[in-house]
Amino acid sequence: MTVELSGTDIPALRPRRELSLPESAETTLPNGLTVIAVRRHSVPLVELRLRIPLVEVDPAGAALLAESLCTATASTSAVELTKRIQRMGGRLTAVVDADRLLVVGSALAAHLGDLLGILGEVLTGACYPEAEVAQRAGRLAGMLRIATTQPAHRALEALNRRLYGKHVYGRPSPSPDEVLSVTSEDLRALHADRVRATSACLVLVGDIDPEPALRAAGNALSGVDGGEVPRRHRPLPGDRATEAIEVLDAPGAVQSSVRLALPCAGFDAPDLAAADLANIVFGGVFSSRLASNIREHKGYTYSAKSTLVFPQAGAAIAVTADVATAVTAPAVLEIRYELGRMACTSVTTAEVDRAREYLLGVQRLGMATQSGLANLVSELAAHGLRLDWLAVHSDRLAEAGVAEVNEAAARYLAPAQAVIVVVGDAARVTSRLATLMPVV
Amino acid sequence: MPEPLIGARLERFALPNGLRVVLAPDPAVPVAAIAVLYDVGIRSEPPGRTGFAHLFEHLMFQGSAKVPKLAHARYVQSSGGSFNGSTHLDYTVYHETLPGTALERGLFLEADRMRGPRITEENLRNQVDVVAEEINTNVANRAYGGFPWLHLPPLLFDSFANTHDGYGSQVDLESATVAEAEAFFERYYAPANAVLCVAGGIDVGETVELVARHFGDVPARAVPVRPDFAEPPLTGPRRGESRDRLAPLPAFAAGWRVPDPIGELDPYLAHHLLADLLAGGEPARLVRRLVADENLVTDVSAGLGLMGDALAVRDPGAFVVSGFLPPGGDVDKVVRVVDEELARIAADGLDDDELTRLRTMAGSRLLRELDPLAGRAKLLGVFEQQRGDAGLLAELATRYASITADEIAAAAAAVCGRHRALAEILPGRT
Repeated sequence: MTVELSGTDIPALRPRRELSLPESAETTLPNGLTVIAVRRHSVPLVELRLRIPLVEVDPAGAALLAESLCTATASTSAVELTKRIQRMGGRLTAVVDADRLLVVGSALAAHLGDLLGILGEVLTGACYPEAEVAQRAGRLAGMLRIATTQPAHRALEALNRRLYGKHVYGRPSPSPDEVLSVTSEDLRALHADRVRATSACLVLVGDIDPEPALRAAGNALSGVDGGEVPRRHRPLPGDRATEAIEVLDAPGAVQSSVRLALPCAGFDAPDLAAADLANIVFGGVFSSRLASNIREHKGYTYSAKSTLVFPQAGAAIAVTADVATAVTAPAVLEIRYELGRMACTSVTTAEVDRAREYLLGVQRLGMATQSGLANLVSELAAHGLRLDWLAVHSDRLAEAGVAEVNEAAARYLAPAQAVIVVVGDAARVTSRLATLMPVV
Repeated sequence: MPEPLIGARLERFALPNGLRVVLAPDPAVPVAAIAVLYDVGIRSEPPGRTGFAHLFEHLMFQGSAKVPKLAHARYVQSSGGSFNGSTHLDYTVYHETLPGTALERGLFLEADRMRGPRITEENLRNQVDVVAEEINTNVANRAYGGFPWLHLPPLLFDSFANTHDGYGSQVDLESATVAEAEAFFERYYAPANAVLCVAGGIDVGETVELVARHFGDVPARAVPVRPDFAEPPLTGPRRGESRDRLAPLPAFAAGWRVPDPIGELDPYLAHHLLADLLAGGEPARLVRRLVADENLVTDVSAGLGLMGDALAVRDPGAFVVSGFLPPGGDVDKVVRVVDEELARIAADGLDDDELTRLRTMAGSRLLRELDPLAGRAKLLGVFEQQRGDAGLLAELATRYASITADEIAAAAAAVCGRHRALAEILPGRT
């Protein structure tokens, strides 16, 4: 199945220049807020990310807080606030997950100071008026009603439950009714308690001078309360529900959403580079073993991919494939086969070389847009790292050979480690899946 | 407004075989994006071959003279790059984003398949299966799948070209043949029917040479004359509904015809700003009335185009207002409010602050779209192909900034004067 390239006509790659990191500056304000400013002047815009740890919190309250955060303050109505942001060609929204509240903003770079000013007003003065909150709750409930019918969403929730058990990562999204029962008072209390500067990190990326940008952030945000050091996650449970395939019924579905997940090395692990390479060889790219097998040879699916994800409490590899109902069990068989082949037979030198070239290249691609760079800097900071970590990771990628990748594959890609979920037409898929593994 | 960021440095030329080339150097990044756009899309599909342009796009990844099946992805990804293709109403685009070290490799890959893909019976059958699953993932197995781009065109237009399902019917896809794919390539994939755009950290002189080296010997052949897909105005309002067994909430999409996006650019852009005036954020007219004041919808949006291609479509285009209703919501009431707000804008216009915000937001949205190199290369290529000059993209921010309140009011009046096509989604099983 493997196609080796003849190389006779293919233009060679030019030698790679050393990774050059963009100009940046950093400070920590007296209230505990870390600010990182990075220059990337492709277009005259600035991107803003503010990450505030938000762990062990009521999910309905957190979701509605994110939806309502950037609306009204004591001095400004939601409409006025949005008008001000629009005059800067900007936007300011917030999203939340089990780790953090993330404020995402952007504006014409000339308006950086104004954008930071509004962020400061929102953080210190968001007042969650009842009418606003009710309207936002209605919108969020509608979005949740739609999301919870989507097979991909159902599959993800079940996968989290099997992977994380009773840990907060295993919780489902809040229900529409839970969201509708959150009050303005709940949000004000949650905001006062948890929307604090200590351990939060603001990232600014764009057509800006880093040092003056830090000063502007200091002017605008020094008034935000520091608060206590935020709570940390409980450790992830050691055991997972790997003994059976969980089938969630979607009567009449033309397709099954197949999902697998395995725990993996995190940013702090010395074998992350090797795990990263193993994942690319297995399913991380279109030219991987997984996509070659179940898409390009068997035609079972349009999508087949594995991805490393890095939630705060522990990393994982997630495998996704939406496959035709009739080939659901064969697809699960092939995915487990490819995992098993990674775990107990050797990868080739050529595969590792290609994976390495890919990962070194996409580092550069990831830094080539303002929003991509802002997301990257913000995610690294969440794990206590800075952009210079990329150079360390590059060196590790360069050093990892077949032996290290085999070792990482055996540790992180063994099919026995995987939790498996299928959302599909149970009447049509269950009996064949049961020939592979127990089904619950 | 910011100065146009591109344009002054654009390099535009054509090769003797007719391939048009646009180079957009940006020395700030060690990355380059390559986009090749062929002037053929969903609207050019013949009756009985719905979905063929998209199926053919898949076949372009199945190997070419010097590139075996699976090797395209392998070459790009083992260069540290990413790639994709997509099929639109009026064009099909293939693109790679690569570290600068792999620029020549990317050009080689695109040139090799411009000479001809390797289409076999086995690969065709394989990709028919893959496309069937793509449709299942994006349409059949998803709430509101394909809404409204598959639902609105049959109401808003009449001709086969403008109304048919661009994903294609199963019957049409399964009966597609290798010979038809070869004929499709022969007819539509001539170099003179394509635009190549390279954007990013490139040296212009060197890239000109590389382009000539790799694409120069692609044989020239005749280019088909593109038919005019314009249609006479609707003679009355249209309305259709479909039931979506996965959908939890009712949804609606109202569509109107628009001025020719190419020939009447300023009135078309005025419609774009009108869409933002109606649904761009908290202060927008329909958000105020439908969501905040009257609670008739949970969410509303407005825009140009049926496939997210506001600036990448030829005549006929569309003006679309869509949204989700709470359970048991009243679509007629919603549509009445939309009509009232359009009429109000037509009669009373808008204030200076609204105008300033609309212009500024349109400008910054354009910049955001152009920051990723692949997006920049694609949009430059589309402008070269559809408007004959990629350089017009650089003027676009200025064009948005010069649209007046009167022009936006006139756009609202024009929408009011046209018949509406209304598509509804009814939730749940029958």
